[in-house]
Amino acid sequence: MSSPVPDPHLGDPGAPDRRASPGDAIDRTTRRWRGVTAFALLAGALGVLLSRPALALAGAAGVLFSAAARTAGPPASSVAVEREVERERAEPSESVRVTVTVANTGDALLPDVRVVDGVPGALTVAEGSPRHATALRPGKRATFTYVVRASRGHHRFGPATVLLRGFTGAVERELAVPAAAPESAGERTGGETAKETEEGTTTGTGDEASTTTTDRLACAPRLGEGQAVPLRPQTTGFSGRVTTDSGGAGAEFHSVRSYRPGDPLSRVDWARVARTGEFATRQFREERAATVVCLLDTRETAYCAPAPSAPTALERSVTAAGTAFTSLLDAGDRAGIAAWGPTACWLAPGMGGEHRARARELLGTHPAFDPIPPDRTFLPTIARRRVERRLPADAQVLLFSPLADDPPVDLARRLDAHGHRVTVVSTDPTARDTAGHALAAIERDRRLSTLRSAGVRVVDWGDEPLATALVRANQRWST
Amino acid sequence: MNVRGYLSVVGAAAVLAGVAVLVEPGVASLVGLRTDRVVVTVLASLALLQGGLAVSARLVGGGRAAEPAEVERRFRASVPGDEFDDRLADLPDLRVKRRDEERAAIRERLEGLAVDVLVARGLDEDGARRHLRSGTWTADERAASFFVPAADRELSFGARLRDAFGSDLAFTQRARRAVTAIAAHAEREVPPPGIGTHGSDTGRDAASPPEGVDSAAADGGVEDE
Repeated sequence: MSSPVPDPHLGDPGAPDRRASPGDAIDRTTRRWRGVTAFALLAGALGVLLSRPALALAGAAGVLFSAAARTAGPPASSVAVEREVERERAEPSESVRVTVTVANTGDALLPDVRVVDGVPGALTVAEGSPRHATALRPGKRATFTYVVRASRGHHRFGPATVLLRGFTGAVERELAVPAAAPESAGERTGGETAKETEEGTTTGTGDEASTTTTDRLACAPRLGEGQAVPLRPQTTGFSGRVTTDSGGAGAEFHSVRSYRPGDPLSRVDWARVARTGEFATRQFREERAATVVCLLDTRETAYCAPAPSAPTALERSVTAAGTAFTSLLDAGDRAGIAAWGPTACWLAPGMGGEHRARARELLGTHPAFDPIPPDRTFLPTIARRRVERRLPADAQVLLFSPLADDPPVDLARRLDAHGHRVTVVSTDPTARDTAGHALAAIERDRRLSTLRSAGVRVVDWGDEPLATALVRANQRWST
Repeated sequence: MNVRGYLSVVGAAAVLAGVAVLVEPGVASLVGLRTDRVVVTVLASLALLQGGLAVSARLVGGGRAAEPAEVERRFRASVPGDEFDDRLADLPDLRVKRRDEERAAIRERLEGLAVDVLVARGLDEDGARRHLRSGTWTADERAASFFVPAADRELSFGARLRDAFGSDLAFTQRARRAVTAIAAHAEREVPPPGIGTHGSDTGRDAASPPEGVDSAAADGGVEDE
């Protein structure tokens, strides 16, 4: 149980838009009795002027009510909140039950208690309501539950907003109460409907296999599998899937050269030997492994979408990066992950199952890929240098960005100029239903053209599946 | 209890005393109150005035209570270009100097993009600017006039008057139509300037105006130029 919030002095009543924060309550006069005051004064005055005793008496009664409201102060802040999140980790779209208990820890009756739980902005309430209204006698508690649908990210619940009013409702106190763990976490789950219970009363139907928490929920989707992103011919010395211009062992025919002692007999061009008597060796395009870093644009501009309720460009970029990462590892390439945004994130290129698991966790829950825009300042030069410093010399870059502004274009060209072959996978976040949206779409098209003119490969990913966009891009590059 | 509370108690006591006097006029003489008609009328008039003020405050101010965040609603993403729509919508609320600066900035941004798009269609930069300045880059008259210097525009007297007194309707409409015309070039839905029917076509571009453009104005029903 969290400690009660101390009574503050009356706050500035002229600040209705202010939000309370933990330890900083806000008191507001609700003005709900103003109408009664007006009626009382008008009725009293007219009663006297028109010599109507009944009207004057009605006015006097109204004045008494109004005076009672005006003398009322804010209720005591003796409220504590407990929260239990059914499990700490969940799969995407999985339902997770949240149980909130609000308790009156003081000695006075709280006639009007309203609670709004601090649901993380990236979670959707799928069932029930995170709001509850009740009255609490001293020592009593009320429990309500709701269900959220898990989505990618590491979500932190905020403090619950509690609104307290007295009997008159003339003054309202707003509190931000951080939730504490229930006294018997993991046992109490509450019911579908809110109910008031005696102190300590529980209904134990908890899931023992799950780990309950009070303020967080993590969801790291599995990395997708699908069409591999075509890589550019920048490779390491290891064999892999990237076809190079060097002749040697491989699958695709490259050239024929004179036989040298030591050449494998399987590569001797026996037809030529039979025809001319000269020994020659067939060469194939060597297939080498590549080192690839999936670089995600995580700046605030990446949190855009064709519609307010659609998945953001960053969300789609994370999905695409996960798919690309998987296909790279499956093909024997070394893959890494980096973020280009206010929060740094770096997973050095590597291989193997453990590396894959780390990538999944990183893309799922790292703060750099938070589903809500970051509240930190982005320093472009520092962020760029940080990326450049960490990129291995032979690494090529898959840059995932919506290209909603110019900086990613400059970054891609700069990296390309520094010897890192860049392929941009750009999720299209634009719409064309208003002048502004159409303008943004044209500007983005120009950025794509600028990159293509500079020799940077671009995958323009719209509404279609990523695989379709990749096939289309590959056809474009092949012609 | 604060000062306001004490004053409210005193006021309530006075009202009760008044009611007592109303019921038993003899009470007034006990406490030395004057109850002649003039004093009562003055007090009632003051109460009437105060009541009127309270009604006014109630009607104007309304109630005031916390509005907790809509926690059930997921984060809503921004759509690229919202900022441009907001800038156009906010133009009428700006002071004259700031509005002029904002108009110039919008015009410069659209001109840069238009040049870029026309260059991509095979024009050189000077040629593209020349077409924009002369208004021959699109068949849409109002979109074409957006980049034409004010002195060279052939506008009606009424349109000039509206422009002079800062009505942003004309500028906003022209800007939106200019975006539509640029989009038509970017999508290659119309031939590049100097080819085809530009300059002689009295019709409009194939691209329909985006949302926010008055349909009557778009059809030529209202002339804002």
